[in-house]
Order: sequence, then structure tokens, then C-alpha cells
Amino acid sequence: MDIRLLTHQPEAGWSSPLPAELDSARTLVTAFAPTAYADCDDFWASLAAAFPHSHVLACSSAGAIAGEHVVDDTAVAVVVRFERVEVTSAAVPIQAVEMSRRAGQKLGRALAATAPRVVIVLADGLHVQGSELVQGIAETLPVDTLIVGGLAGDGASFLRTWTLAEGVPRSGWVSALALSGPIEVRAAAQSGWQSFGPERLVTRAEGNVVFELDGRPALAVYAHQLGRLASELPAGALRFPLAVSIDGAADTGLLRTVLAIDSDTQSLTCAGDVAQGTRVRLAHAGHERLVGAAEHAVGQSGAHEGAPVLALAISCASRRAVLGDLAGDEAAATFAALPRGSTQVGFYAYGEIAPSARAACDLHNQMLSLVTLREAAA
Amino acid sequence: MKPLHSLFARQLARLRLTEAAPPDATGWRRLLARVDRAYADLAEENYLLDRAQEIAAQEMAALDAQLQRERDLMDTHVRERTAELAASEARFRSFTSLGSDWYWEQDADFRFTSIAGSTALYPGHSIATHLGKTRWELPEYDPPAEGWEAHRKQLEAHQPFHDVVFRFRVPNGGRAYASVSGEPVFAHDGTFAGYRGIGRDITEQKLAEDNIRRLARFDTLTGLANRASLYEHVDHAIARSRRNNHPFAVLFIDLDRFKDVNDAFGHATGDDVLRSMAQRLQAAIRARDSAARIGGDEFVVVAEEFERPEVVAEFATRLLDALAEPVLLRGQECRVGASIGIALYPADGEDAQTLLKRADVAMYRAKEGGRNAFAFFAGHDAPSSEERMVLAASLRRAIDTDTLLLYYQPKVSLRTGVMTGVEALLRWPHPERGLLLPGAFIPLAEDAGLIRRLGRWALRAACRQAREWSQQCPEPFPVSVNVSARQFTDERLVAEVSDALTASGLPPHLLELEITESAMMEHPDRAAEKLAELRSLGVRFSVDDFGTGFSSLARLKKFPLASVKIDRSFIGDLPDDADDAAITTAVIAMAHSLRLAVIAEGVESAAQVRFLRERNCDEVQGFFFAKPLPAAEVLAFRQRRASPALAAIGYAD
Repeated sequence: MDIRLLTHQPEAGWSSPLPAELDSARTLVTAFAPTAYADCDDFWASLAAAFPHSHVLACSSAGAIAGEHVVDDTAVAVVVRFERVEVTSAAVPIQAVEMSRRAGQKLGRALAATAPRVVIVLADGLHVQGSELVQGIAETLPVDTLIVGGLAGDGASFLRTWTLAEGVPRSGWVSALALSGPIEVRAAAQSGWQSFGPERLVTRAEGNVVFELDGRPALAVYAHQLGRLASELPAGALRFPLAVSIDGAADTGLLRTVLAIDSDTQSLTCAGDVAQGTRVRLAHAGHERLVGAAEHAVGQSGAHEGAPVLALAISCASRRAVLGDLAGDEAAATFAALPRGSTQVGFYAYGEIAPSARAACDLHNQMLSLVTLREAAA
Repeated sequence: MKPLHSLFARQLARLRLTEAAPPDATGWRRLLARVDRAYADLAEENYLLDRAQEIAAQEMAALDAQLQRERDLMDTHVRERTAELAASEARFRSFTSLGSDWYWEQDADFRFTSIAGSTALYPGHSIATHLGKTRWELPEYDPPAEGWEAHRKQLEAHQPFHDVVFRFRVPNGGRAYASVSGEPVFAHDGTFAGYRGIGRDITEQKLAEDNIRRLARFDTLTGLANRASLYEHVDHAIARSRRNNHPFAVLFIDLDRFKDVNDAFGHATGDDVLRSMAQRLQAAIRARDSAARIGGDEFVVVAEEFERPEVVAEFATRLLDALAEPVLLRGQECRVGASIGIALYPADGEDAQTLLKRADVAMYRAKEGGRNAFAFFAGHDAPSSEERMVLAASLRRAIDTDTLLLYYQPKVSLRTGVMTGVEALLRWPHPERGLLLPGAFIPLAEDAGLIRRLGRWALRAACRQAREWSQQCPEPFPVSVNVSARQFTDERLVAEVSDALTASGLPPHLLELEITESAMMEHPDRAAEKLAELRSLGVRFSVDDFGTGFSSLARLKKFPLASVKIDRSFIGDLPDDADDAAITTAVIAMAHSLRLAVIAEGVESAAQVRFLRERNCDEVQGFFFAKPLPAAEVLAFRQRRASPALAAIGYAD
């Protein structure tokens, strides 16, 4: 397979000329851009012109990864031409948040025909019920299909996200690429977050809003636990997600970002469902833990010796919030562990799609997921 | 050199620095940033962990305090419950130790697990030996034939049982009895856990009962069966007869001259005679028959399984002969004899009562026929109810055809000696029986539902007669009519009185109604209302049979009465009976204080008249002056102002 990595900046344009010679039906183009790029018609026009036959997948982000660097205000694109691997793509509108599962099912059905080995999904980050969407997709694809991807981001604004659908950046859609044929793919997700404090029972929750913990107002319990660090709320809530027990196992790695707090209802709004009756603890992570986890991710994914791979690193906006200006350490860590000559591209998402302890395909928060792809030798 | 801490080593590796050589400026800056960051993260992590521990400790302490509170509360509860339980136990002990009953418990296999209380079935016995065994395993247990199966079923069905009697053998060969009640016990999950209950020694009671039962079946004087046994005998005979299709006879035997013997020789001798007669009956009857004395000098023999009625006749003759044999009383020979009535089953009746009644009726025929005889029930011994029906019919006819009569008894003033009025009294001139007084037909009228008709007739007849008299006399006098309790409570009374007045045209003040004190006092409020209504018609009232009811003076005061009639029972023994004298005096005084006139009824002697006059009694009525007279004679009586009777006691003409 042929891989090219490019960047684009609003003033400067593309870092190098678009490799239009790689355009084919077996070519995929994946791009991650700042939200503002939705209105950058030139950008999209140039891509469309250079790659009329290729399958283009793109979304907005809270920062992009190119190689071992993290960039803002810059779009990152990777072009991959396969010899024998088949590429298909599809995009489906999510009519309403409550119909996320329906949308997922529709998307899955659109891609199922090729019996794909891996499906890369990018979905709107705000107007979607991520867990439902992911379940819908998984239900309609073969059970051994690896489904990865992320929810589009919007910097730290949480206002507007988009994915490329039918050639145009659109909000409220879910787009995906499916790869089938001789493709080697590995995936791993690591968190690095540590639970702390006593376990609490979610005594009242509706969907992704938690109202009560241990029969007491959820926000009060959360803030009390944080002590002086509660002064950083609401923004600081990204640094202290809820760790959810699954079937009694506490450190399952399933985390839920606390997106917002409400002092009137004393509730916590999470990025994903938190069922009433589950047990949760608070979690936090420092720089070392997150970077350490990133280093671990490569080993976990079982990546490869030898031939270079394409690595898709989808990290979480909340990790960015913790790492701050040292965010590059994470990307650098994963990159350093890849086979020599590999290409790494990725973005900071509002939710990561990867396998979990409870499902082959799950919606995660706070995670770093790493997917490595390589066309099998003939 | 000691190896670097792993974290620091990692940091150096990431920045591609080595221990060997210092970093360049960029590397140094990057290293500083990461080390500083590491310290900051560590501090934050420590803070959060310490806080988590603190919070956990606080929550633990709070939980502990709560648990302690709950434990204390529970301790208090337990103490209280224990005290209650101890008190309950103490009560239970009192209960079982003070009585002669015992309390028992059994497990699910019906074995005794506990017995408390007084506990010996016989001296030397201890119920404690029953522990571990079931009731039927007890060595002393003596199961009775009946009732055991039913009780077993109760136990198997886990039902409560009451007063089941158990019998036990006692060393000296006798029996002991216990009356036991029990209820099933269930565990929390509903499984059967056994029984518990009480027991009582009823040996004495049982023996006493048996004795009484024995006594109750036989006539103590003669040793023959008694009335109760007789009914059983007859019932058994009926059952047997139905089975084997042989009729049987009931002979009702009444001794002929027993009363004479009793009167002549006294009761002790009378008893001897009865015993002698009983023995003769016993000797005369066959083994399959039975004889009973049912009272006085009456006996009954049940003769079973005879082939023909002639056989019964012969049997009856034999009995008569036996009973007619003379008895020796104080050296004298006396013949007693008997009359026998015979009823046959099933011809003359199908149950004991009917057979005995009809045999009795037949016996009367035998007596009427001359005694020392027997008679079969012939079916012509008509019950008296037929007669009564005939009589009732003719009474109705008499009322409807105006053949009843009213007689009038004068009332005389004790001051003036003048007849002041009359009381109307019913008479029935019966074609066969003569002039019947009210006592002879009033009860019959009540039974036949003729009382109202009778009352109405009397009212109208009295009003008509009074009217006639009022037209004939310059000084009219009132007629008083008795109103029975039943008439008084009838809601149509007022209308009937009004009708009678209107029909006759009698001025109302000439009609007086005599109502008994008890009739008025039955429902005094209603009585007052009725009297007020009647008063508004213009009639007058008098309380009859005064002193025999239960009046309150308060009530009496409220009734619109004119006079009070002292019942004859107070007058009869005047002036000798001090009580009657006192009562009469008091009644007169009281009536006068209420401004009521007083009439004394049943005055039959001069002494009574004098007594009454001295106490200012207003009027008198009674045989001393006149018996009830036919209408025609009333006016004439009135003319004779000073009758000889009055003259005799000092009235001027």
C-alpha cells in the first residue's frame, strides 16, 4: 500500500502537492480538521478534484495528530492506495438523537455486503447517542468485523461538529469506510485513568444524566470528593470522569466523561449512558499515567514487526485537557513504538469507538485507541 | 551508580536523553517541564487519595455510629421483650399451677414434648411419663370404639379439636377420663409443627354423668322405665317394625281407683300400691315387651310383634285381670283395677307422640265405658278443636244476628243512694248451653279472631240502649263499656267509638269507656294520645281494675280520666284485711287528690259498704246492690231509689 501524509493550513495551504496519482477506487483519504474548515470550500474542492474515485472520510476535531505531533488550526490528511484491499464508504443522517441506533443500523447495512474486516466510523460528536449508534452498527455487521472510530470534536467549544457526508461537511451525520480483503488490522484502547474514592451506587439516573449517588444529590457527592479541586468545575470535570463497574468488576476501563454539571438539579451530564443501579467511582490521571498508557497501547495492539503500518490514533479531548501543552508526548509515545517507516495520523475526539470488556464494539470516553493497518503481502 | 527511578528513566528515554551527558538547551527545557509536571501531578494525586481516605473514614465513622445506635435500640427492644416474655411465663405458670388442668405440647409426630400443670390421672401417676410418646402409645390408654376414627382424621387434617374425651385404665381396674382440646401449631413457613392444648381430668364428672343417665332412664319408685326411656322404646319398636313388617301396640294403662286409695290410706301406701301394680305388669308382659311408668298412676306397655289384633285384646285382658286382683292394704282387701287404651302401629300413628296420644284417648273411652276395661283407638275420639270451631261459628252468627245480649250492672252513689250509671256486660244466650258469661266465650272469641267484632257490637249496642234511656229519662245516666287491651291498642278504636256515637245519636258525655290500668300502662305515651283523641269526641274514661297494673302517678295525672275503679280483689276481704283496707283508703285519697271519682267493684256486704262510705268512696258496684240486669229491668231499679239494701245500711228514701 502507498501512504502519503499531508497537512493543510488556511493561509499556507497544503504542505505538499496532493498526490492525485494515488487516486483510485481502492484509495482512501482520511482528514481531520478544525471545525472552521466546514466553511473552507477550497479545501474540499481541492480534495474532490484530486481524488474523484477515492473514498474520502473526514471530520472536525479537538486537535489533530500527524506523525508524532499534535496540531491545532491545521488539517491533517492521509492518502492510502491499496493493491488488493477493497474500500467502500457510506454516510447516513442521524434524524434525531433518539434515532441514533436506527442510523447505526442503516450505516451497518450499507457496508455489510462486502463483509469488511474493519470499519472506520466518524460520527457527529454532539447530536448523537454514541452508545446507541455504536450498538446499531455492531448489530448489522458480521461479528468479527473490527469497528473503530470516533465522535467528531470541536476544540474545547462543544458547539458544532461535522463529518464529511456526500462530499460536504455536514452536522448530524455518521460516515464510515469499510475495508475488506487482505488487510491486517490490530486495535487496542488504553486509558491510564485511575479510580479513587469509595464506590457509589447510581440511585437515580436518566439516560446520560446522573441525578443521585447513594441517595444523595450527585453533584454534591462529586464536588465533595474533589475537595479544593472542585473550584475548577465545570470545565475541570473533563479531568475527573466516572469509572463504571461492569458486573461487579471495578476497574473495567469503562469511563464516562462528565460533560456538564447542573447546580439546580445537582446532576452530572455524561458523554454516554450511565445506567441506574450501576456502581461508579471517580477517576483521574496525571501526565505520566496517560503517556504510559499510550506507550502501552502499541504493545497491546500487538503491532507488528517489520513492514510499516498506517496507525490511526484516536485520542480523547479530555486527555488533551490533562496533558495540556505536553499533549505531543502521547502521540510521540505511540509513534516511537511503531515499525520504522510507519505513518501515524489521528485526532482528539469527543468519544472513541473500540472494543471493550463488555462488547466487541463500544463507545469509550477518555481513551486512546490505536488501530494499525497493513495490507497483507501478496 | 544506582539505577535511576523508573519514572525518571522513562522521562529521559522519551526525550531521548541519557544519564551520560547533559541535554542541550531545548532538551533541558523539555526535561524541566516534564519533571515539574510529574511533581505537580503527584501532589494532586496525593491530595485526592488523602481526601478519599478522609471521606471514607468519615463515612465509616458515621456508619459505625448509626450501627451503634441501631444496636442500642435493638438491645433495648430485646430487654423489653425478654421482660414481657418473663411476665408472660410467670402468668402461664400461675395458670397451670393453680388449676386442675394441664397444658400439653406435641411435635409434628404427635409425640408429647412438654406437659405443665396438675398432672396425675390417678394417685401415683405422673403425666410426665407421657413425654416422648404419642397419646395412643401410652400404656394406660384405653381407646373407645366410637369417635376415635373421627379424631384421627382431625389430627391428620391438622385441625383444632375441642373436648375430646380420652379414656385411661387405672391400676385398680377402674377408668379415668380426660377431656382434651388442642390446636395445631405451624412454623413461620407454614409447615405443620405439632399441636398444643389443654387437658382436664373429668373422671369424677364422667362417673357422675353415667350415674345420672342411669337414674334418668328409670322410674325410681317402681323400677320401670321412665317417660324418656319409653319414647326411646317406642322409636326402636317403630324401627324394628319397619324392618320386619310386624305391627306393634301401645297400651296406655290408667289405674282406676288409685286416687281413692291414696286419699284413704296416704301416700306411702299409695306408693306401695304403685310398686305392686308395676310388678304385676312386669310379670304379665313378655320378654320382648317393655313397660314404663310415665307419671302418677299411668303406665304404658309396648307390646311388639303380635300377629293379629285379637292377640292384643287377649293380652290387654290378661293385664286387666292381673291389675284387678285385690291388694291387701292394712288388712283390707282393695281392688284397684285399670282402664287401658290401645293404639296400633302403623294403623293409628307413625310416631311415638301420636301413638301415645291416641292410646290415651282410647283409654278415656275405656274409662267412660265403665272402667276395668280396654278400648282400641277408633278414630272417633274427635279432638276438641272441632267443637271449638263449631262454637266459634255460632258465636259469629250470634254477633251478626244481634242475638248477643248486654246486661247492665248498676253503679250506686254512696252519698245519695241513687243509681248513677250502669256498666254494660256481655251475655250470650247459647241455645244448648244456656246464658254464657264472657269467661266462657271471650277466650274463644280471641282465638277465633272475633274480639274486635264483639267489641264493636257491644259498643254500638250500648250506645243505642243508652240513647233510648236518655230519651226516656228526665235525668239521663251514662253507660260504661269495657274496652279490652286489644281493642284499646287497635288504631281503629277512635273511629269505631265515633261511628257508634253517630249511629246511635247518643250525646258523647253519656258514654264512658272502662279501660284496664294494665292496658293503659302498656304503652303510656300512646295511651295518653289515644285518650286525648277520644276525649275530643266527648266521651269519658275510667280506669278499670285499678291497683292491678303498674302505674306511675305522674302518668295518671296526665290522662284525661273521670274516675278510677278499684279492682274487686282489694274489696273482697274488706274490712277485715288490714292491707286491703290500707290500700283502698290510700287509693281513694289519692284519686280524690287528683280530682278523680272512685268506684269500688265487687261490693258484696254491708260491712264493705260502710267501710267505703266512711272513707268517702264515691260509688259502688256489686252484688250487694244488684247483679247485672237485663236492659228492661234497669229503669225499674233506678226508680227504687232506696232499695232494701240501701235502707239496711241507713239511707233515707
